[in-house]
Amino acid sequence: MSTQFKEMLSAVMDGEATEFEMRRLFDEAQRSPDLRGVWSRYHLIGAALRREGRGGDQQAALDRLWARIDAGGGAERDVVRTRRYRFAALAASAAVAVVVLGIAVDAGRHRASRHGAEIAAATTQAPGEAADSVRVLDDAPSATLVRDVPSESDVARARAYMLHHARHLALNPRVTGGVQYVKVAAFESR
Amino acid sequence: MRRWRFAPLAIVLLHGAAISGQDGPRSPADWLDSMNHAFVERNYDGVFSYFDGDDLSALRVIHAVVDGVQRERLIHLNGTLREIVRTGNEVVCVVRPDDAILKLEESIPSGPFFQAFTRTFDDVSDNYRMTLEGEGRVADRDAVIMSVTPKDDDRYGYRLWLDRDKSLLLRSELIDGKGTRLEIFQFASVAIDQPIDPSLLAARAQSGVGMSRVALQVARRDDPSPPTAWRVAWLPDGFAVAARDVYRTPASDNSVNTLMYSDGLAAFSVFVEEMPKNGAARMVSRQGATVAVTRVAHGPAGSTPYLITVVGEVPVATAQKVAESVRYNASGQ
Repeated sequence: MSTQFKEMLSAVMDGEATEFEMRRLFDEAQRSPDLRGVWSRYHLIGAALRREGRGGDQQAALDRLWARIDAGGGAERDVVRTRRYRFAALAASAAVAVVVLGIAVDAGRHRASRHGAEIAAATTQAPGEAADSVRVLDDAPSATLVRDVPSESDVARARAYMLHHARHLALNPRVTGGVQYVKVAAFESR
Repeated sequence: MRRWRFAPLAIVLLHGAAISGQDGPRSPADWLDSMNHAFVERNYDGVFSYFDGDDLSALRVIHAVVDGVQRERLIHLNGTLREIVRTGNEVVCVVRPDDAILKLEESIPSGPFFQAFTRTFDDVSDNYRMTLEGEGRVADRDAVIMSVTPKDDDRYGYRLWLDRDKSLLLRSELIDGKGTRLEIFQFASVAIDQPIDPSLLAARAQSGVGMSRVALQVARRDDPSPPTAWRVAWLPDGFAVAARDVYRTPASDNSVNTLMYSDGLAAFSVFVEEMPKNGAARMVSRQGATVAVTRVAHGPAGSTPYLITVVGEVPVATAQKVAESVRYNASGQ
């Protein structure tokens, strides 16, 4: 996997990716099992960090983190280590992120995956989706399928709402100063 | 790679000072107000660039007031052929039949769009510090440079170049808290208050090129708050509801609750819909300064979950905080 796609993936995780980068990443992910694997690992760790950011016990978070990684194959740890500064944006606290990852990389390999059953129960497979790309959000209704990895329909929905927002503002130029039609005309015009 | 960054600038800020325009000294709020009037009341024909953080577009805008009716034509000059023609409150988008924008329209709420309630620029000053920085030059025209700096981290700032004589916006920059320019709009050339040939305001007929039209309508609604049980529990200071409605998507006929909020300069929309049958991703997406954040929320007891999408020109953290605060309130209060 090229450095360029790693950068894009990191930008996605940080919420900084542009639509163009997202599309390129999706295209590449369809061709590259390696990229899909890395993407999945990133999300597993991101999910663990988010859970920790909500005030959970650090040790428990570490256990969950490594249980998820073990359940998912445990690959790509070096990539995670080198990119950990990017994950700060995903965690509620940058300090917590560094602590969790720092300890996990050093000590996590010795942990038994005793939480594997819990993780498996929280992972629900949707038709046409990879098992590790779909999970139940901790704070979401229990029966809700929430993907960690956005599908094309998710990206299309976000783009469509951006377009709707731009049009609505364009029709109300006094709200924001009147240049909003520019966004509609230039919307993904490449 | 993706962003241009400001070099530190040694600028002597003229806090609260007024810079003379055609009608004498004006405060920053006066300049903003006259800019808005210039947009809708003046004739202008110009070519400008628009940079959204990723891509640079070139467009021509022709604007005139004919028999008291605002008419405007916006032509995309490179890439996909697109024209937007506005006559009063009617807007027609002229695009090629294969334009991706048409496919997106099938999945988004259709109009009519209701006119938003706006705040005055006096209110805007509660949340932004407006400063006249001096004078500059854009499109071979003298300009007044204004800085609009947010007083908190919940919104972006702006730098504006306004035509010294006509108050038309000649250049704008949308700037995040780190000084990164997220969007840039700038005229390369513009003629202001010159006669406009009416034929320039009509979409050009292109032989051999298919066109599709999408009509949008604006209707004034006196009550900005039709009943909806969805509430945003947290808003950045100064943001208030500007529009609120329930739309249906053409493709699925799903109803989508839409709420738009504005602080007078920035705006974001909140979309609430039933969870799609094939699920959805909790994600953050952005294009230029526009961010989209999604989350899942509980709806009425016993109902399916709902998908919340917040879209706007606000920082990701603000959009996420707004999204997390959206609640279903059965009492409608």
